[in-house]
Amino acid sequence: MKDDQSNPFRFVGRAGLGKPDATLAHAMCWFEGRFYLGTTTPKCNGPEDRARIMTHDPETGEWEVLFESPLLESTEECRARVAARSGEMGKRMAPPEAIAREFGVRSMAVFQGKGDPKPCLYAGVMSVWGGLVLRSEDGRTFEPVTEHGIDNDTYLSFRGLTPFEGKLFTSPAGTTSRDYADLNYVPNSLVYVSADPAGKEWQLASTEGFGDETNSAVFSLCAAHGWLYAGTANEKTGFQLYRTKAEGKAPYQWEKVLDRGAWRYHFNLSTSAMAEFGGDLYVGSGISGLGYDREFDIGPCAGELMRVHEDGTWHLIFGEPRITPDGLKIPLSGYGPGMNDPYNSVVWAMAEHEGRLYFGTHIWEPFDYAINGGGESLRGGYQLWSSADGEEWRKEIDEGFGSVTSTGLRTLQSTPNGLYVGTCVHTKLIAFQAKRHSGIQDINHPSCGFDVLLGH
Amino acid sequence: MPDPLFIIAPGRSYTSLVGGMIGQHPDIYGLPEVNLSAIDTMGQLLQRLQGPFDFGLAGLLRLLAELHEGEQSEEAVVRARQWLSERRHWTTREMWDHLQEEVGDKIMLEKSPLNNFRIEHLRRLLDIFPNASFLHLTRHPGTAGKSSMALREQLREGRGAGGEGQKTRSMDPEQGWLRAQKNIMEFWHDLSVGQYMRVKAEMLLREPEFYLGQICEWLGIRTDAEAIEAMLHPEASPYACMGPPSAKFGNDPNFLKNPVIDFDRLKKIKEPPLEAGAEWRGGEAFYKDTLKLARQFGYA
Repeated sequence: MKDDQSNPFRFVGRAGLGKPDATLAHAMCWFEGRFYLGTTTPKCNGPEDRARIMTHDPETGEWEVLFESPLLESTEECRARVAARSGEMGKRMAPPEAIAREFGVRSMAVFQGKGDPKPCLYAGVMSVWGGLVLRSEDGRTFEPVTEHGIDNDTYLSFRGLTPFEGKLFTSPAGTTSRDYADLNYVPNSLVYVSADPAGKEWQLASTEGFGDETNSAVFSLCAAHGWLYAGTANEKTGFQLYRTKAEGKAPYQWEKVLDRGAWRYHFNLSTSAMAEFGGDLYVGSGISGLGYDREFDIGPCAGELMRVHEDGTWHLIFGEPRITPDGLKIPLSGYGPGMNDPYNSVVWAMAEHEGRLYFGTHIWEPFDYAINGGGESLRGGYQLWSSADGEEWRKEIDEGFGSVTSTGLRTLQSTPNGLYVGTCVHTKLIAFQAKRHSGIQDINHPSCGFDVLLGH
Repeated sequence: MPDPLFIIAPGRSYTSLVGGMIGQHPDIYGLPEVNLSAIDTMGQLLQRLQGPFDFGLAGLLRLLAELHEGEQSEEAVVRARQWLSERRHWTTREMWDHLQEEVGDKIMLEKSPLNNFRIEHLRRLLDIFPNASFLHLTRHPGTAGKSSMALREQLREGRGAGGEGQKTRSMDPEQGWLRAQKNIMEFWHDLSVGQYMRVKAEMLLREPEFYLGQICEWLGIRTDAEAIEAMLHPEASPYACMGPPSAKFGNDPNFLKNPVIDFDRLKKIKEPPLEAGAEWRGGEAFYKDTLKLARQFGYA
């Protein structure tokens, strides 16, 4: 563990906070003076795999579980969906008798809709029964404000909950059905909106794929300089970025801002994290997983970061220099894809904190060493970078803060307590691969669940 | 002295036209194809490019004649050949140094298809010029293959450049496209950020002024209207014409016969859907690796 005095970050939560199968610190929020963490247990194969919403007291260091998913009796349909999911996870498991209504929290936001007496905490959750949006007035009692999947119960979850112009936006993420399961790709590439989520009134905010059938999902939503932005996944030609003022009746008018993966084509398969900083929108990109899309044979390649201005022009912050219909794009930071690290496959989380922009990466280096390292010690772990101007960058955390199986920095949340960092940990999978492919019997990493760090 | 610029691409990727254009920039000297990347000494060059492969010397001989004597007459080319044969001991680096000295402070631009034939050739260039710039020009595998087949037909009918070695080639043009692209993509990893730039030839040729300006910006050379205008006249190059009998070519024969840009034709350049497959194989699908690279280059 690299917890030296000079580093402003320190662990405040380790090993999935008591649940080693909780491998994802998936969503974070600041609500009524408290920090909230939503956790995900991707395995989702039994009553123990339940989503939790927790809070952290930086004074005492204590964590409190405020919400834990209720359990539902398993049905034949549910068991079939779990079987499809376990197939996707690469591991067939016994069908459960009872299963959590939600196994993960993918997104959180504070929003006051027409039916809310005050700002409430909303959570987009992952469920084999079909994703839900939950609502809480007190941060402790959460109730669904949607049907499973809103209008399509094969949507696995809802991501990118984003308040904008008095309305709450979200997009479906992942598929859960008897025949097919995927954590990211959805049956329909759409954005939903509600001015009154408490009243369960949801509408389509966009047309299917923004009118382009090659858009396979909406991966990111973010408000910036008076626009709501939506980034897509598009394995044919690369991501597209749209924006709307959300005026008039839904579905709204959207205009395309970036096309063809910002002219890197499908190496910029999807947008990932997005954040507003200094009046501009920062758009990260990447290919989920190991930077390689197996289904469409794309990559491996590393992610990029772009800066979009209010007038629709854009700059490349780091990535491949290129000639484009939008002019010559040379990375302003001087760094190539993945900040010159080919293993940084995704810009996975981004947030502003005390005048600096932070982003965290997903890195597949430990997997590569486990599979192809021939017994060599594993290397890698996520990185955290920061910048005061979006151009000069400083590496804040390297190699997963000493945890080689911490492959991703999944969430960042700026709070008065400091900057919270949530990770994604793949200890079991990496240990299995290291043993199978490289003969490494012990990767010497006991921690299985996610970690949470706090930086000052 | 400035670092050179190399256009790297499989054959039939519009390198002659694009190279001819870029080579007319006031700060650039566009070379004919000198084929220096496959050898280490001039002795090796002369040994390799003899008999049916002698046509491969044409570019270098025309260049030497032009640089030494300011003309490319048969007599000047014969003297260039003699001059070259007296320097068999010269290394490739020495020859490049000589060419640069003759060219002066302009950026040398070179685009021999042989550069992409093996990755060692590309690495040899990088070894000599560690700070060189590499412009990767791409063209749709279908139209590039079709163009290759058409050129091959011309050769068989005795209407094109090249010796017996070229006439008898029977390789599927997709294999040539794929081999060169794989070499280039592997080589790309050897380069620093900013040293390599890729552009679709179809895109560039549809709006040459716009994209040539970006190439100039990347190279850090003049982007004013006068410089761009000069680049629209590849026919102004002393090498954009047929050479004397013993060194006729040194570039794509079709380009040498007609180097003037036909803007109307360029605007109509097509990019067929990749699903259309290889026309010369009856529409059979492209290889998986071809599709992967083509999509990476922006063809859909």
